[in-house]
Amino acid sequence: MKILVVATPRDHRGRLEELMNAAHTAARGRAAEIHLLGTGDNFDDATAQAAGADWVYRLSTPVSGSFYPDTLLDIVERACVQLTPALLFLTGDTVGLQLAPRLAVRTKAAYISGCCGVELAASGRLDFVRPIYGGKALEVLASAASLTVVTVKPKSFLNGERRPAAAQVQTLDISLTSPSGAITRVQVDAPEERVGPDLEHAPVIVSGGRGLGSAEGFAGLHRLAEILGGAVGASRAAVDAGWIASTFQVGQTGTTVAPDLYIAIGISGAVQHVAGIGAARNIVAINTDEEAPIFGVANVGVVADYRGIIPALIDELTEKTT
Amino acid sequence: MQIFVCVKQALDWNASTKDFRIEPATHQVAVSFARYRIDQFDEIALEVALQYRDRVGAQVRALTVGPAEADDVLRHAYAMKADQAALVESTGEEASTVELLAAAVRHYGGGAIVLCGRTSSDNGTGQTGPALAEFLRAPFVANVVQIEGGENEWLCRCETPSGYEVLKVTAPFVVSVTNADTNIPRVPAMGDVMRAHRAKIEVLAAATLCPSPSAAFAQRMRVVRRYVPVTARACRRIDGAPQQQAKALAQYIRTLSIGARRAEGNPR
Repeated sequence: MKILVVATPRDHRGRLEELMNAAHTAARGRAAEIHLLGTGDNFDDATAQAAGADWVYRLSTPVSGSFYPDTLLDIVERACVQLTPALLFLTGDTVGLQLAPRLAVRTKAAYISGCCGVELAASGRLDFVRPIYGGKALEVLASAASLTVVTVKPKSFLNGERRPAAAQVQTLDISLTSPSGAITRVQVDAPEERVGPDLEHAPVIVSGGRGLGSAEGFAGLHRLAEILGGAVGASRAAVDAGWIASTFQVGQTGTTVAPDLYIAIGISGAVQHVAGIGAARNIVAINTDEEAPIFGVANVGVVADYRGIIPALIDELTEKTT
Repeated sequence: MQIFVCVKQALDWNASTKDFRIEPATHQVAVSFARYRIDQFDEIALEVALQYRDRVGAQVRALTVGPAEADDVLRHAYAMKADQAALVESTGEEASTVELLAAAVRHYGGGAIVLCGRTSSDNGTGQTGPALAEFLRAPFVANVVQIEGGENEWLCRCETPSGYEVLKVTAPFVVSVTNADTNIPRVPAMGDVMRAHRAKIEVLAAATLCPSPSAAFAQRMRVVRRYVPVTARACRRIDGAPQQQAKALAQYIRTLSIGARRAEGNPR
């Protein structure tokens, strides 16, 4: 079986590792070769060698970081024609999630969105696992197509045994067609200023929702995050209320967070939010509503008003550490 | 100018998840007192389309694919003041949803803009928008929160991982919509809800609309099983007065080896 891993210019090293882990997991117990295509101009030799693929390709004209996904679609389609993989892995971020379905339509492939596991069925068939209903349930899918396109849900394949493979980097001669011109970028807003770690890499996330009642409610959360060396997050409800910028929203645009500790304050636990925090190692929920669905996914639950508990918790944590 | 918004009926998560389970024989969700409503990002897509129409002027047509009962979601669209609504009646045995939506758009003469929600709350594949763009051979813009302009060029304000960007697009194009504080769905007025009940919904038969479907990707795989995973996460409640709760919580947080996983460089 030929497996093709496609790294987009947005796939930093950690993401590429996850993609390779997924590919190696799929390859386990069968004759498979893993091909890696690095499409970006940031795909250097060190990255290529460290990935552990049997074959590595770079584009004759690499794509820059400011690419538009449309460009990549034509490239990946042509790579599929040249390399004829049975299985193709892409990261399930905003880029992969818009590329993969279009690629699947073009190549008449099956499409597995947001895959979080691969299983070997008794018959030797490869099954794909993905969350549905915001992670409340899982579905196992079998592909009947000659090509299966898979987007890998971030943080789902953090582990993987690697076989050492130091492949020669080859150049794949796919010249860029000039983009259709239908889409041009005219403005990029300066990113919001953030203090502390970003959500994706934060070891701790202190997150607030509608239950906070106001923008001022986030002040205590910022203080708590600072003490714990973490980042502040927010639910969609808090963003919609205009209390905090949308870049703080957890579960937005396909991001998955995987902190060691996630503290959900005044968050009811809507489906998309719960899906976004599924990879958190420990979840603490603080909510006045003891029926809130968030308690169904939390390790520790505190039924209380955050106004009382957060200052007290800050006192407790600073008392002992200073 | 014609604008299409693809909407879907989905389980209302806030109303009906108490006894969420999956029927093993059918792979379908079984909940008592299930309530359905317009899926959240689809409702936001409709809001973005209506805001555009209210500012610039256009005809907004809501489309859905499903059984006859799915017309509820279109009545909601009417209540929010969509101009037209059409149901592609399908048992699920005909062409794929995406292909039927593409056929419906063509049936109505095509449009300048086709909007979809970013993802659904049930299957959550996020494939409808991008795949629809492919079937319509149109450019696709992801995570749009607002659309401006018109005639020859449209400006889409899009959310990116680091903030926002504006893309200039020529029609026809397909977008997926995500939430922002500028596109919170309007709450329909009671009179509009009443009118929506009597409004005319066009029904298109899937088999007529798309007599020779291609084997779309949905049909290129099958569900082996669906299940509710048994999670090790049993929620431990911390009770008591706020001070006691804070103390116990602080103790719990201290027992966690935060950051250790990363320091070891060996996840989990």
